[in-house]
Amino acid sequence: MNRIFSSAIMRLTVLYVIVLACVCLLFSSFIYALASNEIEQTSRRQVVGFRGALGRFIIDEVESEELRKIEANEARARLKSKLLLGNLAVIGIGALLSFRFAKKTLAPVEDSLRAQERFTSDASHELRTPLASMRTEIEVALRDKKLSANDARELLASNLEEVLTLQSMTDNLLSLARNRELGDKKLIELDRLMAKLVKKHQQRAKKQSMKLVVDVEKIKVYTNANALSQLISILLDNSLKYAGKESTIQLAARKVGDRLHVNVSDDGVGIPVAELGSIFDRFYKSDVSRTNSRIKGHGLGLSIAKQLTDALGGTIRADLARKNKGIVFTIELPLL
Amino acid sequence: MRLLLVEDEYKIANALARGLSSEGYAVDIARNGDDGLAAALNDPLDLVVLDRMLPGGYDGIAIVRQMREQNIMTPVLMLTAKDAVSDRVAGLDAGADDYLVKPFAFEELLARIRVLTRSSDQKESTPELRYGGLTLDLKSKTALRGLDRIDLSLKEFTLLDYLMRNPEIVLSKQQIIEHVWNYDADILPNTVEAFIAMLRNKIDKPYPDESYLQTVRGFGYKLERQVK
Repeated sequence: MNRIFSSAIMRLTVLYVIVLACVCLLFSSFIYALASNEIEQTSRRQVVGFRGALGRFIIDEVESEELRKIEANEARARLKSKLLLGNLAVIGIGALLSFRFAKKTLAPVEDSLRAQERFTSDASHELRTPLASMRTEIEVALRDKKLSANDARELLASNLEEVLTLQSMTDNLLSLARNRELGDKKLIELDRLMAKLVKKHQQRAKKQSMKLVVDVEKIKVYTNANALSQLISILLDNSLKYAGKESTIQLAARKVGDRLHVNVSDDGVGIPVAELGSIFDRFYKSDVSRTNSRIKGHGLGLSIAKQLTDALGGTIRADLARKNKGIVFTIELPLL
Repeated sequence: MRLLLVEDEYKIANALARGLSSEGYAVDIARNGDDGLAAALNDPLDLVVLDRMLPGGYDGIAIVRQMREQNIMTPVLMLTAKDAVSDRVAGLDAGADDYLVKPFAFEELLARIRVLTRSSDQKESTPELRYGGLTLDLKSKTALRGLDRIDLSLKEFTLLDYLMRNPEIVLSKQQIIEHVWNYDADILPNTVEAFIAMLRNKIDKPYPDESYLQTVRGFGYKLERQVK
């Protein structure tokens, strides 16, 4: 991978230098032709002027012509060496700049390739793990000659769980891959939409002994209702998953200027500051969720949330809550 | 033979442990990197099956590197769901002996474990251990004395397997417990005596002219051919 890029950079540099050298050569030979012509004429003029001023002396025509030629040749040689030196300097500096330039040109390509690689590697891990679970469980069960009906039932239940994981991951991946075409926008009553949404999550919060506090202004928003509810759902779901027991989740929405601000915050475990930047990356999972195998997530929800926000013409960001406890998601959407 | 399985995926770990136990291995499970490292460094193990991605401070690479740095040369079979060449190379370079990409066939895992635990003087293709007129077939888990096939229970097999891998060496009861039973098993020295007695009944008793299982008073046991 690294080798590919360093060789590409070298090749690009060489190409730039060759182009530069050709241009220099062309330009130099043009200048040389022009300048030697000039030298020729100037020296002739000088000889004529010389004769005029020193008319009394009789100078051998042939001798003066020789002298002139020698001088002109010397001038040409000086020009040549100067041009050569100049060319070398230009090509030298050019090579250095070309290298820098090539590196800069390829940097985004390299970045995107690395991101692609990371994605493939993460995706293969996330997709293979449930498959590995199923395969090992099935193979081990099949080797057991005294497998009871009860064992078989347990095996099937466990396999079904993995199938469901794979299914939701497939759905999410496809949803991310699809170019999101939002349906029609409509004028909706925000508090109503949120109330419907919250109802679903309220039950889950109760079950996990968490609190869900809602504070939504009564405003009308011109937007796509489905996308907005999916977006809020993802954030609430995320908090319910990771905030932990006894934590409080807050959903707030209000009008600020001509924008709608939606906040979803919790006072849960939070994540390290350094990881805030990658939280919307596909397959990103904080170490907290990796350590806790009870949490079923594969790090695609927030990527989808980001994509939905983009499609709705808004922005989303994540910050640490006060005293570094929990995370605050802030969405800004146009009201109209 | 005692294996340490370091794997954070709950289901994979359980299924593997179950499958390996039914093959006669004593299996310890560590579910995160820190526990895995502690066990790998301190327990008497015959093989470590190590997942590459682990929660906690140590991943598979770090664990195997630590083991090798401390001169613990227990064979390590690394498991991973990442199959990029660079991933595999990193694992092997860190000191792993083999690499298996998930999802793998359980049969293949067993075969690779057999290869990794094969002693250096046992290179033939058939998976068996031999000492004197005693042969242990690792695949069918039966013993052979001459031409007589002797069926063994799983624990008897594991016990004989351990003895045959260390022929003519005195093994204490504690050593036997550590290599034949896993960490969770609460085994008393008496249990070892009982199992040795059962094994002796099968492989020595019917053959009065030649015995293999020797008791070394005050120390333990030894596999050694003695002609009477």
